[in-house]
Amino acid sequence: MARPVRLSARLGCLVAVLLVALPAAGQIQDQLAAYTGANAEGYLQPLADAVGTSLNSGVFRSAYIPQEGFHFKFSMEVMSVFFSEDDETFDGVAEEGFQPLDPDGIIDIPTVVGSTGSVIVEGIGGTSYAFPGGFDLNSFSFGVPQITIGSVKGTEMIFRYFALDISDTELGNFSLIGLGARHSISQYMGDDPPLDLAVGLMWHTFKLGENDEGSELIAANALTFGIQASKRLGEGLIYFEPYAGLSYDTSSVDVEYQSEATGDPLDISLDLESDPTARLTLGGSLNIGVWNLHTEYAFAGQSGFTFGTGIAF
Amino acid sequence: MRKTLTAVLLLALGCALLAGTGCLLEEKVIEIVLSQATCVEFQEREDNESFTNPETLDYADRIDEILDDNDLVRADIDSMVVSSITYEVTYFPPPQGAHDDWELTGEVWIKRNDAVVDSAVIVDLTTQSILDALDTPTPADLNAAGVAILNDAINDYISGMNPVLVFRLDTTTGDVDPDPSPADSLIFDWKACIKLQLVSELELETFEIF
Repeated sequence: MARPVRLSARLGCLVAVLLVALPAAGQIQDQLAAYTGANAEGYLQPLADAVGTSLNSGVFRSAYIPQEGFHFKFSMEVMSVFFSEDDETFDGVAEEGFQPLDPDGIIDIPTVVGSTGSVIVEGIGGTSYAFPGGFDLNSFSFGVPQITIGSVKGTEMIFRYFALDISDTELGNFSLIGLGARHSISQYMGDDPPLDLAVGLMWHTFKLGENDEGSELIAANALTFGIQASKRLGEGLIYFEPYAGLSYDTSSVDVEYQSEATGDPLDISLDLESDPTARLTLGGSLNIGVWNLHTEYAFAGQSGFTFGTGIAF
Repeated sequence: MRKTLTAVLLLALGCALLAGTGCLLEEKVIEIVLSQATCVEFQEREDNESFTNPETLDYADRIDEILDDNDLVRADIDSMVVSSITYEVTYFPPPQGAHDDWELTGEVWIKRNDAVVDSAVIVDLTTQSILDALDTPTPADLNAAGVAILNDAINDYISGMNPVLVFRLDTTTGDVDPDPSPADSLIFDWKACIKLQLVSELELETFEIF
């Protein structure tokens, strides 16, 4: 019989817009409690990769940066990463004390984004081991507000910040800080360059949930830097601006939780490094007066889709 | 100013519309796994090499405690499995004779006290050093017939019965080296721990745009 757990993510649809797609961090901790070491890494790696990819997304929507003068942009960015079949399972190892009939037969175990059903592996002497199910996720989405302020000598600063204390729910606490900067290259290309070019760098730190020790369940860092290009099509208050970017992304996720796989509480600390990846971003931005709507698709180790809307002065 | 206000209102409306479309919440039923151990403790005070001392484990009561600690009830369990059994010596004073250890060869038997079920060997011990097992959880050499009694007891528990198990360490067909005597008694405490995994279902809502 299934027990209903009404996620407090129902608190306000506006919060849901910002905290999309993330299963209750508390429930992730419960599932992790069945694992130590290698199995925990295999279980969580797809989500760690998705967190890093999302953090490194949606940073820019135009390569145009004025040389001087004050400008301010506020936008809401929603980044989504799509999971593939390869993300749904991992090859597990026997947890301490359990002796499988076939040590090489612990395969196709659900990851955190995989099937909700547990997998039972037979062991010697009539024993069995149950590997917990995942959350059956097709995608991981992440919403965050962003402020851009410039310009001095063709340079602007980017800020992202969001914090939410919902520690009385299964989601726990959430905080995100992003800092970045972009510099115009096309300012050196004459008065009428064929397109706008810029280089940029963005760093993020993200913390989610609370483990039994009171510290963060999940803490992530992400860094992206690259080159961006765009071209304004149209005049005056209404114009369309296709844009593209090539960047190099890195990210890592630390997870701390308490495992009960051995029968006694055991503190586990994981360091999930995602493989550095090159990313190609293609997008388009529609500007009507101060209002902007943009969307992009990123081709990378984990592909993703970002859309956002905002105002600019 | 007017354009600014209009833009902000449009932004807020866009968010509300996006969020308000059923909030894109999807109900799912996830199988969660709870790993716990339940142990039975023994005290051995022996003056000869052949001994067998039973200890009773109210299995239903222990599982009820595990469930209660995790805010679960019996009806929440979909399945339960035995993942491993370990034993550990928890107390071992220095022997009185001219040796510092004992080696045991024997069997741990299991039977049901609440049902008519033949007893069976669950753990085989072969020249097990008491000192080696002191404060060291040691994986047991399991016998399938004995584990089957455990598994049947689990299934009976899930179906509403209250199984009670009896374990005993039996060296009558084995050996203790050196032989205990009144002048050199075999004294140690030990425990056997059964690692259980309980599979239960949890309804959860996840938010996915795609």
